[in-house]
Amino acid sequence: MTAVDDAARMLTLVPWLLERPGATIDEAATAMRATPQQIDGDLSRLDFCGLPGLGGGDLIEVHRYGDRIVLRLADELRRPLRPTLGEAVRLVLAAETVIAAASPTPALTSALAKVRAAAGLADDTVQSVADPSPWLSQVRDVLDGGTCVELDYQGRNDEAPRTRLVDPWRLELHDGNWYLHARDLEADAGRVFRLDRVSGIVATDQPRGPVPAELPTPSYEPEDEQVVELRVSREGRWVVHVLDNVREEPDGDGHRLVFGTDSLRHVADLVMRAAGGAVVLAPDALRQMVADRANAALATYEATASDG
Amino acid sequence: MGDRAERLVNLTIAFLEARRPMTLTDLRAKTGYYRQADAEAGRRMFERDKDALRSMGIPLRTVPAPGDTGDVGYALDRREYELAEIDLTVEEMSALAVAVGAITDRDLARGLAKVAAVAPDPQPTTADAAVTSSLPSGVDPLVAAIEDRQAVSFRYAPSAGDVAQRTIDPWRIAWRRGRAYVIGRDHERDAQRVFRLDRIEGIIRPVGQAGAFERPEGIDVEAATSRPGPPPVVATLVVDRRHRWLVERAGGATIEEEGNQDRLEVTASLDAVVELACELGDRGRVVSPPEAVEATRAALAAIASAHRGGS
Repeated sequence: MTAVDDAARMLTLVPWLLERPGATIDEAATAMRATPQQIDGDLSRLDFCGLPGLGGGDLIEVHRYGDRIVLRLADELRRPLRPTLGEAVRLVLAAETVIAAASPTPALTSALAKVRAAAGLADDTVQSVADPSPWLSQVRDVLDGGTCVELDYQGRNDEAPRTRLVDPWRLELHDGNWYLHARDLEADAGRVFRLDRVSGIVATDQPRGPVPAELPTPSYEPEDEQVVELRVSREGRWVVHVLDNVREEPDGDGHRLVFGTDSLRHVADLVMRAAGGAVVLAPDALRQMVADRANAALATYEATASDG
Repeated sequence: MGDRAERLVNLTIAFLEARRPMTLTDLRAKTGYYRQADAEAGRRMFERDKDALRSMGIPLRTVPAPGDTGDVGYALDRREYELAEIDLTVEEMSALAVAVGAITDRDLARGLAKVAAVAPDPQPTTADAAVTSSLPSGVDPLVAAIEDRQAVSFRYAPSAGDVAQRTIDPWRIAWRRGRAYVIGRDHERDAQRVFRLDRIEGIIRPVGQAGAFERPEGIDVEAATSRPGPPPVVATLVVDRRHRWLVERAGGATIEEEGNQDRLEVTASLDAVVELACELGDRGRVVSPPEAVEATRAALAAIASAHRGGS
């Protein structure tokens, strides 16, 4: 924590305490998203704040009654500092994300309008677009309900979707994709499921357990990794944006990508979807996998052609 | 004389209390700070504190001092400093607190605490925050430029193509599926363009004067942030039931079920249909329109030929 962070928090803590005489340090810490030790330090400093040049006659008074706090003579700071543009935009985007995930509640919608107005953020500066996403409303219903669900899910290494019994925890919107954090009851471990790889959801009558306080950010952590080299054309360069930790080098009028994966099957899916915009340089097993898939697919088209 | 956080709070109080702009000399007298034997050291310390106050969002203005001294004064207008009346109800504050409760972001937490300071306490709730998201970085300079109507310049890496320097009149921030975009007029192309914030590389620099352009009304944000492309085609695919979700993900709807093979219809660009059909491989195939079948066959042949033999 820097002095600037501490000072910014103190300018918010003062009006919060003036509105709530007799609040406790713990309550203030919760409201400020700070530790009780930080609030205690803030109060010790505030006792020396005011106009020191006037010889101590005009200082803020911090009165402690047990663990309860009362501030006096802090009238210059009775209102909080206006949120910065960055803070206001983040409040708006965070609330808009929740609205996009669910049917908006009147209270949240009107709260958002008041925050925009108070922060001086014009309506047309930041605008949100909500897209209907397959499964999203069903997952919201599941989270609002109290039971575990059977999730049909296409894993990166699975040949076809497989049914898992999961205890749903929370939805996360991350880099253009919705994820469901949940406990996989068979594996007895937390898992992250991409909603666009879900192929079915069925509620069960098994009750849900508590949601852990800390959930990891969805990220790809390979266990048994192989190094893959692809050459992508300009049209196929989007591939770089759906992979993590890619080393990218210009190569002729395209790019060479080097990255690790725990699933050649998953990379083969990507290369096929690139429809010619991506070519496997290594490993040979992946080259062969892609060649086999393309030939097998061609065979189905040839068969249909000769049928017709 | 206390620590720096204490000094920054005192400086804020001194500015709020003052009825007129204050020079460094005034501040020395009023606060007792910046009175080092080396006057230059005191001035440098004040400069750093002044920058710190501004970085906290305190709207400190620089104005000419009274008289002909050539000195500058600093003024803080209470109306610009204070959070405006917001009057959130208990229900609104509770909804806001739960909504953003699961999102970890320092600026978000600060903004919420400021609003909450003068709002009713949220109702205690057992409801878990059900949704979380990462928030974009780099928004602040763009929002400031939009509000100031000032051009900005940055390096941009498009999804296909090369990294290049772009200069735009920023009009609006769009937020869609957890991604932030800026929509504006690209100077070089003299036309509306949209940029993803996470593809902007390095810093965003303001260019030229504030108030340099008017922001048009009625921008179609949804269209601007949609994948541009040729008009869509209606394609029919036949797919193994276990893999039907791949087509449904692309917006496909089942029109006929037949054994383990389902017939689905999807409306998408020809390129998107070909990409989908290639990913399906032998798990399904596109059967109409003929140009989609032909383009898929050609793409598959190109993939097969590019992957023939060892590397």
